[in-house]
Amino acid sequence: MNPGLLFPAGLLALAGLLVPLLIHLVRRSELVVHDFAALRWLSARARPRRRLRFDDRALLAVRLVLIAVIAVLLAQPILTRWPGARDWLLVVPGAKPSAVPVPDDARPLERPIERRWLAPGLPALDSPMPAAGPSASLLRELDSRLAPESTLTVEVPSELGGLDGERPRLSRPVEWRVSSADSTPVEPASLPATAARPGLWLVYAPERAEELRFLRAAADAGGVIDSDTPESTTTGPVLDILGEIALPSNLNRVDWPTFGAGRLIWLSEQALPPAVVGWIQAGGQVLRVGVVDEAANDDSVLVWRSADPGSDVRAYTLGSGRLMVLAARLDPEYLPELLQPDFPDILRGWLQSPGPEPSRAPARSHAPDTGLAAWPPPSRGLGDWLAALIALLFLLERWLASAPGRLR
Amino acid sequence: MTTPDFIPPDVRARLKALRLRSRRSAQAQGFGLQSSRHLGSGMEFAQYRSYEPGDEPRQIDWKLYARSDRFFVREAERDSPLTVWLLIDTTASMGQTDAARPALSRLDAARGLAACVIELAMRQGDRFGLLSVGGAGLAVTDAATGPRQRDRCLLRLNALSAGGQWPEETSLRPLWQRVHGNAMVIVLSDGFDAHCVALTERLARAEREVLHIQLLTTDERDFPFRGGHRFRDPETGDELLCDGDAVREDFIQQFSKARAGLAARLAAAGVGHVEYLLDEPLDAPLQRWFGESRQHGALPR
Repeated sequence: MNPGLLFPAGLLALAGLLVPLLIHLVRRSELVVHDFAALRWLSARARPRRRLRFDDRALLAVRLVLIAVIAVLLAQPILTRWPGARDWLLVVPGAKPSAVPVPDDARPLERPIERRWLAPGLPALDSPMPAAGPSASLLRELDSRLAPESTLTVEVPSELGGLDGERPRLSRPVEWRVSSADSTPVEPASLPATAARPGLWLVYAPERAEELRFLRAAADAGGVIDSDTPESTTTGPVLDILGEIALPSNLNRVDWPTFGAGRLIWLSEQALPPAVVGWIQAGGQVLRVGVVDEAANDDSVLVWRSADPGSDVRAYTLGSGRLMVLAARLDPEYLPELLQPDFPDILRGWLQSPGPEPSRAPARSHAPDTGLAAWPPPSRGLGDWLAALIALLFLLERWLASAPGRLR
Repeated sequence: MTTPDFIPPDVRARLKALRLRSRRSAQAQGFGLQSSRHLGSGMEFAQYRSYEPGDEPRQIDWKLYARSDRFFVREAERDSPLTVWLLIDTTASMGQTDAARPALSRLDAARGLAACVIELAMRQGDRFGLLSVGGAGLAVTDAATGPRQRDRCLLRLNALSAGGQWPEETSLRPLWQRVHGNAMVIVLSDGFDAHCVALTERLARAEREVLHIQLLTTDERDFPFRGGHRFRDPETGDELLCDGDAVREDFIQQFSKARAGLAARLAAAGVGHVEYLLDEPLDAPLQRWFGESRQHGALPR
């Protein structure tokens, strides 16, 4: 158990120790005049000594301790302590049960073995098999919470789900047992159904009507000519244009149709009306074309990079929907890709929802890596105890300070 | 208006065992006890009462018999053998209190002691009166006896306040007209004022029995001050800044010497001298002087 400070600069408050020292250094007792009729028997030569001297030592000590404790509280003290070292046996849901060793094995156990499912909450192995969770994330979390002496043994099915972009890097070696045969193959996560041909709503300012030509042409084009994906050549038009709306000057007069699952292409510099914003937040997707991307910031995601550096498409998350911004107008001068034959595919790529990220891998190739620096031990704040101590010290200080006859 | 009560109950209970007793002339009084207000033969007329069998014929007022044709006996109040005067110093130094008990001043103790003496004197039928000497000069409550006199004295005590210095000698002259010979004078003072001590000595030389009770605070005995303190003489206004720890030994030594010197001086003048410290019970000096063990004995300390 090691003490530590989260905010050592809080110890600067120890400078407050000077205050009670100064208070007690002032010789208040000399300011009080005592009536003393036997004055003539007092010798006048014994002047008060001029060396440093403190009144009320006990009270001064309590005040110093009080301020010191407050300073320590400001520095946010913690106690760091590893839990007891154990051997962990983790089973990823779906692993073959026969791979789980019998608890009371013949060999003596040096340390207790924790048997858990590698699932959210780490339920005990005795409980029924839970649903699989984010395995990599759970492994990393558990690794950060365990004492350095603890060992990890993980039973995994041959195909492991719940992964993320990186092989787990842990601070300790892991015994990675891959079941040869899976008892219950994990169902692949169902992909969200994406419309192969998203319907388009074109909303345009009247002066920009000629830009619609490119979109109509792209919608009418019979898909990309690609020998690798023959089905795309046979599906006819890749995009359906569900409606075209010319914007009047006053947006309030527009009677917005129900966009539903369609995509909206906004060819106007007017701001999006609240009805459209509400639709986006409910899950809609809008592509604004020819608008200077004022809100370009870190929240945006680059969807598509153009040959012209000023004509990228960036996307923002708005509620559960998506707002994409193309800074350039639909003009070949600014967007040379407009004239290329794969523009319909590019347009479809903009408007399609991003698919789920890959999260499954063969377990054998996804054994956790080691080499991460050791985690700091978990810590516990001491603020409550110190606050109680401060209250006690304050009461003691008040009691001492108000004791009768103190200023004698 | 209720009369103030300066005597705590426990002290009042212990007072029952005490008697004011004059050492000087106890056997010269002739009437024996000085205890009560007996009516009988004497110089001062008190009342007439009708004749009862057994009365001496010479007590009958024959002139009244001639006028009224009835026997009346002339009764006189017997002179009380003792008159107790309480001389209370009310100069500013009497207002000094203890640092430990700021509510109790020397003058408060003097009030309590005076009340005790008044209680004793009234119980014995002695006459008692009050003299207070302070910045306002001399104030006299004439000697008499009885509960009304006691209440009068207690009210006068209650009105006393400490202030000023010892007055001029001339303003004390009425004192000599009131305090006759053979009276007992109990001086309640701190004994720091040379004039007061001189007056005490003169009273003793003038055939008065004098008991000097010196009222001392515990600060003067223990000198509990630590560190630098500023002291002020309440009468002269002089101030002195000194270090308590440094001067304590010297002060206690000097002050003890002064106390012993005062006691020796008063003893030489024939004045009874008792010290009273403010943390003692109120009757302690009276027990020391009038108590059983001291009644016939040697000089008190």
